[in-house]
Amino acid sequence: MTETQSPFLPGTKIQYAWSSIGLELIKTCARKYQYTIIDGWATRNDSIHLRFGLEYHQALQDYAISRAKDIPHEDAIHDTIRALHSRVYAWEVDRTSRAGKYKNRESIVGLVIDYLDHFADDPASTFILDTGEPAVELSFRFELDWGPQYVDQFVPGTAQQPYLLCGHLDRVVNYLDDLYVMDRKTSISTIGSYYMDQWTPSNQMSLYSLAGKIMLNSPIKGVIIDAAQVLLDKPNAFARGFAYRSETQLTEWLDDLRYWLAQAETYATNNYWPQNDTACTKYGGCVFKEVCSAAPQVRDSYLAAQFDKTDLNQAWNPFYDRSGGA
Amino acid sequence: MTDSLLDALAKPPPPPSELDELISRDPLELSAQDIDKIIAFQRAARARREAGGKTKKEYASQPGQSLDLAKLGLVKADTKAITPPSDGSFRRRL
Repeated sequence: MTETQSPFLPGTKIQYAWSSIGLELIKTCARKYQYTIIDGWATRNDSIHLRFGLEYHQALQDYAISRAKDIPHEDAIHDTIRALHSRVYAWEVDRTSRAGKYKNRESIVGLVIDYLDHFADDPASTFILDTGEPAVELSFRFELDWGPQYVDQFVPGTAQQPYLLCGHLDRVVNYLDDLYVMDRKTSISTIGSYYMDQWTPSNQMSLYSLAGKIMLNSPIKGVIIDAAQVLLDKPNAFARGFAYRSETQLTEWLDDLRYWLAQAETYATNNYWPQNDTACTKYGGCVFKEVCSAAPQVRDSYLAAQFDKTDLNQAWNPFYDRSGGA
Repeated sequence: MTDSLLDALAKPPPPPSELDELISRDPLELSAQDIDKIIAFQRAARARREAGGKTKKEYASQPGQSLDLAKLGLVKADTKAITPPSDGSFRRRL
């Protein structure tokens, strides 16, 4: 298996390739970034959420590709479920956990069928690229016009290395004569107005708007949040919301990013990532709250007892190709 | 991080449903009809939930009960059996 490229400058903890996940973490709390990205700690539920999300995206991508080839809805669903089944039939999760109760092989199959039926006559149509391919699961990677200040005289290239922004756009769509990036979300919480409000301002949606604009070289109006709520005793629910981004908003986001990346480099150079103790209770509470609440000398024991070490090359690496390619 | 132990003990996982049994089968043993059955099961379950009927959990706890897809209008009486692909190809052949 080919090892995925490292997003850090050689021999350092200075990250030069960033995805929305890393940016989100460093902006929220440097310590959370350290535990997740640098040290690779993850909750056991993280793997369930990650797998569920990947399967959901893959299935909807399969369906979109079939439909772009004019395969009828019912046949496209059949093929999508056949492929999904072959990937998840042996997927066992602990269904006594909250995550496993909602996110498992049965619920992913159900959610995909419900979604595809719900949007069988989708008013948002998939944008077709110049190549004739549908614009789904587009990986992006682009350089910024600046990079880390760090220079290692022994490692060639460190002085010229620009920052890279990387990620995946789930889908680009035409909706009412405008182009939008569509970002798919699955949630076990209610997807009402409170849920939709969180995407403006939002680091992730600003990055995706910018990426869509650069990749397609076309005006992108913003991001459509395509949310699905997994329910057990009621029908799965679906809702869409809009996160608009103007040119000036994107410029401001990039200007701010310069400061955030400089700050991240300072943390890495000092090998110290401070706690942001005002963020611990946000978004339902940080998963590391108990760890950070403990005395510094026992935190490693807390981490080892409650978290798993993940392989950065698979989990959060911006260079990781989720299509399975190199 | 796992949920609390007490929480886990208080809420045992629901017993495996008929749908989950189908989904857990080896893909090589699953015919095109089985895939259609999975889809029809999910549609029937959705229709039932939309109608405010019994939940998946309640059905799963009553062995012997099965869904009547025809009653729900999800399977036509004159539906012909679909022959599984014999050439190993992926797309369903009608």
